[in-house]
Amino acid sequence: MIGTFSTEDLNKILRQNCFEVFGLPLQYSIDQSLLNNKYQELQKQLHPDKFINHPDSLLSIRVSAHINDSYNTLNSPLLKSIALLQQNGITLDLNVDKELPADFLMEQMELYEEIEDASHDTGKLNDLAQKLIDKVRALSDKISLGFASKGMDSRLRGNDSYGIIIEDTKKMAFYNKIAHLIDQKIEESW
Amino acid sequence: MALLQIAEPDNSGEPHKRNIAIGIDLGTTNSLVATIKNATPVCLQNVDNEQLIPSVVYYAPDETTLVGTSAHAMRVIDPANTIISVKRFMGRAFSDLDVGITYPYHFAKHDGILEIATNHGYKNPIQISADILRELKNIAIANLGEEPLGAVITVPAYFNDAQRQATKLASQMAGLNVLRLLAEPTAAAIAYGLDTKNEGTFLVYDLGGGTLDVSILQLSNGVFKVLAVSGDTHLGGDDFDQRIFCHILEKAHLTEISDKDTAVLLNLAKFIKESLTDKDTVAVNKVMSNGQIVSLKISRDEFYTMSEQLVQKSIRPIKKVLHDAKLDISAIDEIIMVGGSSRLLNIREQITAIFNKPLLTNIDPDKVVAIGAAIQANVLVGNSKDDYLLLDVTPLSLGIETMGNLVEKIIPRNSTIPITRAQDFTTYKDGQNAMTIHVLQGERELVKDCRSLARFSLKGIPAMTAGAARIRVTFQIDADGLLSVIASEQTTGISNNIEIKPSFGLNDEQVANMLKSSISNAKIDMHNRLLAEAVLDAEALIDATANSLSQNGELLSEDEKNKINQSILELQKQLDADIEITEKTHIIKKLTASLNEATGNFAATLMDLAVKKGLTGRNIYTGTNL
Repeated sequence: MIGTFSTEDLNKILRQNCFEVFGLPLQYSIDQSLLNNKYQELQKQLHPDKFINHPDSLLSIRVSAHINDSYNTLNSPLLKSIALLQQNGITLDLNVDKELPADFLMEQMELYEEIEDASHDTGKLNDLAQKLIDKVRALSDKISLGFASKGMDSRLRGNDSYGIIIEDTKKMAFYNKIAHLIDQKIEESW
Repeated sequence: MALLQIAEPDNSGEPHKRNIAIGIDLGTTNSLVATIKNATPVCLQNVDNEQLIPSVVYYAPDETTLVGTSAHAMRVIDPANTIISVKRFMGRAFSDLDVGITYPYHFAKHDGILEIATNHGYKNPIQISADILRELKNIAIANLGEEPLGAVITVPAYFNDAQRQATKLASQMAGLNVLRLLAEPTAAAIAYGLDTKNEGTFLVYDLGGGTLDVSILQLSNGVFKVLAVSGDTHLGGDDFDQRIFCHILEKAHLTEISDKDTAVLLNLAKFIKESLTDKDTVAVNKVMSNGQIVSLKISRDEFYTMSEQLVQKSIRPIKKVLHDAKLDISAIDEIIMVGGSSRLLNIREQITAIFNKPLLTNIDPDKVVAIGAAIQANVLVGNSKDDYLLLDVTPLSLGIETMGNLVEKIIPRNSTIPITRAQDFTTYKDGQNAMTIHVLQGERELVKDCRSLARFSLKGIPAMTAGAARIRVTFQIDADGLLSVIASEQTTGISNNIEIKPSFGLNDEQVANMLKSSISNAKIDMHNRLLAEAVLDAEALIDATANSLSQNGELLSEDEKNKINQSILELQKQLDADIEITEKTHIIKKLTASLNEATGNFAATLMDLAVKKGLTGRNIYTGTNL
């Protein structure tokens, strides 16, 4: 099985973005089973286990890691959106809190309060976790539509035309952070 | 030598040369070595027909090192030199020693590394583990007739980087080519997964002597993936023994008891626990060293009551691992039971109740990990046609220290490995040309609550204004779960790659020294073994000859008899001689050869006699128990 990938091939994979790695088009909506199959097919050939005592064994660690990373990115609505924006020339800095709508920020405050109130009640925390999952899913659907409507029209590049997607992606980052906090609380509640 | 090698007719008849690979379960309490023979995984036995080798090393006052049952027997006589459960100390610093637990060892600290003072000098856990691994390797060689090409060594899913590094180093010191470090529950799933050819989601419940690991694995399209791991590093069968032990003390009104009696009662507790898996009540009688007789009955219900808390504690990680894997109870297709303590009926009952389905227990829970490791080793050396791949996850989050003694997570736990993550750093002072990065492993937020893996300095950063330099530090965890770090400055054209191998308490020089001393120790070990073999050969020949002389001595002339007796005397004298090892081996071999020569005529005479008696194909030594 080794030998079908030369050192050159391995280096080429390292330079590919997360979509190219799996031969997928640059779009938000992804055929999940195709991605899963492709991921497994690649790892079966490129995992370091297949390069034992092989001169490219060290390189295969990096390639296999890159495939894992690409797979994780495409499986995370947030990371996938950030990656796709990147492909459209927009680098999102989540560390800078750009103005988000006031009602959204109010909602965040309320969510934090709800977490506080739930205290160590596992049931309530689980409900909250589900609420967050639903919110992220709704945003993900919205982002998907947003990207689909843009197509890959190069005239639509730039921050302005991606304004809503950018805002929704930032909202999603907020929700993810809160979801993580709830996760921690659930663990503590045991 | 010819005496000892009684060749059995070889019916294996392998048509082509195979790569021999072994799987090793390096356990806290027991260790095993397994391989694939005639397409079947088998655990290999030592000369005493044992497969479960106690993970105990005894350093005798002379140069002898004992491993296994013989070493275990020394723990009552010489506890300070009998190292038990050394796995608990692997990758640990002196400061990591649990304060609450008392050990019979004299610990020492050598450059921050934990060491134990023994008859053979200071030994660190890596060297002690290497002694166990060397024993396992020798068992493999004795069984297989050659050095294995490579080995898969299992580690607890929970092991952090330092513990994995230590395990790998110990294996290398034992002269093993490490193909892969494999998580124990993953190995168990391989043992089962391939047998049943299942696609699905499995929960592996591994309760050993002192540790509990719970993992969830997913097998789909030939890819085995660990979704999540959880557990308790201080919970195992020994804790159940302890409960029974305390119960005995209470019932028998024993207060101060000697170490010897403690050992006796702990063994008794273990016996009671094991008996209660197929008996409703166990009655025991034991005489203590002061003459007091301990006599009591324990019912299964009583045992359930006294161990209820432990059972609950052992169930808790199941919840956590399901949560981590984001799975519901109904998503689990099979539950694999691993580890000797998974035989406990109350635990089996509880887990069956949680999942509402039968548990997989048909592979011996003590051997299933070693068997899985052997299967994986066989795949890795290219013997197996099975086209499956194992993907593992990192059990602990990796992070770096940031301002305010906080840890910033860089690689979250349960990430599929191998994995690389880059993090950019910048300078905070004009002209700053060095910075220190502190790498930690763990889930907690404060530096003091995480395990410090490495602290390294980046030097040679080009002088720039504060915040202008961009230093990219790439953390890489390989398929064994081992970390390496590479740093480079991005803004200047010169990508100054600095590779840092984290030291994990051991610096390069120490590692080199340990490897060197293991090689010279291996030499001493080899010389000792050669001598031991020569002595055995000589003794066997002396016995056989003496036996034949007493039975058929009349066939020889006085002169011949004297010559043989003289040879025996000379050889016997050398067996007890106090001279240098290689010299002694040489002399014994020479004298054995001349004794063999002296008996040549005798053998021929006996052969004639045998032929006359109608017995064919037997030789001079038939009369002995060889």
